Amino acid sequence: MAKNIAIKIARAEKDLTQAALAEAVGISRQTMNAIEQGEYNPSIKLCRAICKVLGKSLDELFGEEN
Amino acid sequence: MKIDSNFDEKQLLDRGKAFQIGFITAIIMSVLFYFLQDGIGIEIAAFTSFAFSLWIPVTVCSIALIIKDAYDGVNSTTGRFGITVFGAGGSYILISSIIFLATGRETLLDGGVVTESIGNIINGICMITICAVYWVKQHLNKRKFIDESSL
Repeated sequence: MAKNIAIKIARAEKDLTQAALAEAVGISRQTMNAIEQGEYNPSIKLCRAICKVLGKSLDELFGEEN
Repeated sequence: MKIDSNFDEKQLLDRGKAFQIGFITAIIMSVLFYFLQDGIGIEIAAFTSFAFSLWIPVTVCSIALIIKDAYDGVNSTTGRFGITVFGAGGSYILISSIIFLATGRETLLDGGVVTESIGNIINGICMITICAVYWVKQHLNKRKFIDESSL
């Protein structure tokens, strides 16, 4: 699975650390790291939660090109 | 998004897999001990048999949980204290057993029967192993997450 760079970029735009984003979303830091590294495919519910925190759309963060 | 459980969705999946691995290990241990005792005829003290049958699957399951970062809940740190106490307890059991064996107070075999001392040693080793794996993983995670600032 490819790395999700879009999340990392969106996180940097919001000046959020991985731990802070994970806490805001309600997941562990290790899970957030796994999502960014492309090691885990989050559920749609989790995807939407991440999008809500980062202020991006599903396509922008989890679209095929990402 | 806060889920009801203390574990996030990935951790719940990984915990399920770890418990499956532990369960399969328990079955294997049960079959193995049946073979050793009733098949080959090796006499093993009940406590030792229990220790192997319980602690090996628990250790395998715990290691799987730790490796998958599914041991501690989200933002939970109580696991650290518990696992340290766990390791300390295991060290005490192992060291005491070795001292008792070295001083002749206990033996590994007694009249052809595998004694409880081996069970105690296995207990201690398993507890220490779980603790060691946990802290190694913590160290590896720390190193892994240090460099998150670069894109």
